[in-house]
Amino acid sequence: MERTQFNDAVHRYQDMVYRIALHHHANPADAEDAVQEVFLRLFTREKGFESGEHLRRWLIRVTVNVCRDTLKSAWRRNVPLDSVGELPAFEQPEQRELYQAVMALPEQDRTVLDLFYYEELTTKEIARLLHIRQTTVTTRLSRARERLKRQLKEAWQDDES
Amino acid sequence: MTNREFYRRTFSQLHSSAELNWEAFACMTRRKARRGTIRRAAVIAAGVAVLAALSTAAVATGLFGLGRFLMGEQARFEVPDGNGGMVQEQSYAITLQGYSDTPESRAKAEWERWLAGYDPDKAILECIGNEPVGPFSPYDSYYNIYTQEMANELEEIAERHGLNLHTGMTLLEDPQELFQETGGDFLGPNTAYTAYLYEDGTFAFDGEMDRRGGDVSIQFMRCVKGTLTDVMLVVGEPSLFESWEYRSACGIPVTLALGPHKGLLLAELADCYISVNILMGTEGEDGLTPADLEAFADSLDLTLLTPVKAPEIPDSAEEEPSSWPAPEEDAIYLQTGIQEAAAQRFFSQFALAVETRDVSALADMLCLPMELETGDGERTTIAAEEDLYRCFDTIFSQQIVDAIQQNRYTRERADLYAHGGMVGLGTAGEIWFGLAEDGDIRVFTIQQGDGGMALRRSAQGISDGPWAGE
Repeated sequence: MERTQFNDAVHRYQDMVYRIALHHHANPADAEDAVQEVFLRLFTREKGFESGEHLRRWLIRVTVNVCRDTLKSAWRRNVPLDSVGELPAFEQPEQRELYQAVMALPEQDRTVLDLFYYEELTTKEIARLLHIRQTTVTTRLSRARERLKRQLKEAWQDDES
Repeated sequence: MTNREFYRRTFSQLHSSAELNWEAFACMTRRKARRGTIRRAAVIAAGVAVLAALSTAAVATGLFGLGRFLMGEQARFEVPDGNGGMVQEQSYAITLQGYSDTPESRAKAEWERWLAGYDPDKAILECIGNEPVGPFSPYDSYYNIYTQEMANELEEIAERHGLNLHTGMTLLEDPQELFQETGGDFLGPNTAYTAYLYEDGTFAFDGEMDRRGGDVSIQFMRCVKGTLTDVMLVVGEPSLFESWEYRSACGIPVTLALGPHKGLLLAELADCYISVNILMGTEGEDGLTPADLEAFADSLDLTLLTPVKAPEIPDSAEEEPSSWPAPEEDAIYLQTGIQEAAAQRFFSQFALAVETRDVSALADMLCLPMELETGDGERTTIAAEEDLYRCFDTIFSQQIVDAIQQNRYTRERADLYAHGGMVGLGTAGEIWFGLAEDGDIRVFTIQQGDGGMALRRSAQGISDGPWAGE
């Protein structure tokens, strides 16, 4: 990839890749490793992209795949909260609570939450990206929302349509 | 504020701290390419039979120093041709497991002699091709075994010489990991790349010798006594080598040898043998000198390599073989969300649990509660381990056991396929498993092809398996 394009992609999407990886691993160090790997794959990619959106979707898909590659066990459970590491600083306490609550969710629920709420993908797009059924995406979203509601109470509103 | 806004405002405060730019990646990929070249040499060194010389220097005569390590007469070996290929040449080789009369060296020599007469034209190997075979023994991959006859012969040789055989190996990408497995940083100013560490503490790595005027590539090996390691070093016709005994700075006596194209450092410690193949000799303007070799010996702290402490190596069944497809080519993953490696691991554990009648393990692997229906229409709910224990033989009938056994290539790989979002096995779809709602892999259906027995998940979700009605 050409230098200017690559540096521009890094500037635009580095935090996006980091967020997706952090949702997957619940561990900043592992997330940073994934960021390195994802952009290395972008650096070595020979084919171009049709548009900025094409690049963004490609980065999301590669990030998910890279994160999955690092999971060796089929029996991986939730990451215990105390292994999440030092908490980042947030402007407001309820934001810190949301972060903690999300990081305490099962890994597959965290990823779906990020792709839905932050990256604003539809459940159909998420299903295609993760190679799972759309109903599975909906199930995971519902389950995650219920848990966030129980934990955060008024800070997390009832389900959106 | 909506949940979406709340979410975005929270997580927008998280930033990656990695400094990434085009220049950094350009530098990184250049370093990776260089390590890749050396790593291929490490595969040759640590993989199976021969550490190949970069050139076959002519010259010879019996050397007292190096001569004690020679493995008998010349034999034909494959050595790099300098153009990326391999060529067969007549050459001498030295053992890397002490003098030629140690049990390890004699066993290795015997194994080589036997191999020279077995499958000399590679007819058996060509017949097998790239299809997975075996396993014939727990040692197959460490000795390049591809028939039961080879496995049997190797075991007999090892037993005759009172030796163990390797059963596990792990890769250590970071030299610090290797230093943790030994007594500490034994390398000093020299460099190690990826290391291969075996279950008994034997290890090998490619690296570089720190030398004024430019680093020199090396291949470093520690062979633990008491285990047959399938390795030796081709040295050409040995006598252009000057060899001498030297007491290194750490107090360990070593044998040094220097030829036109390579240098050697060999040492015997209490419980292991050390060998370093230095990929440069005396030839050329900047050729190595005896003083360089002695300085290298002085830079190492070999005392840290003994006593050997056996590392913890993960069960080889837990490691993913390098032959697993990449995610975008993994047909099972694309259809089920389960990577083939994970599916194979799950199925191996399932098959073992059936074989050993481990009801407790099986109860964890089934998507309980399930409904059992026998051929005569009788129905039972299998909700817990006790139910499974009571109905074990009904469920795991000979037909089901045959389906499991007959559709396995090896202990680690079965003939799995994907359909309708699940992973299946058996010509009649006898076993189906997939991702349960909690994200774990579980078995949803076990059924005989003749309709004699069926165990299916109760009520919701999967019932007859995705082939029902086809």
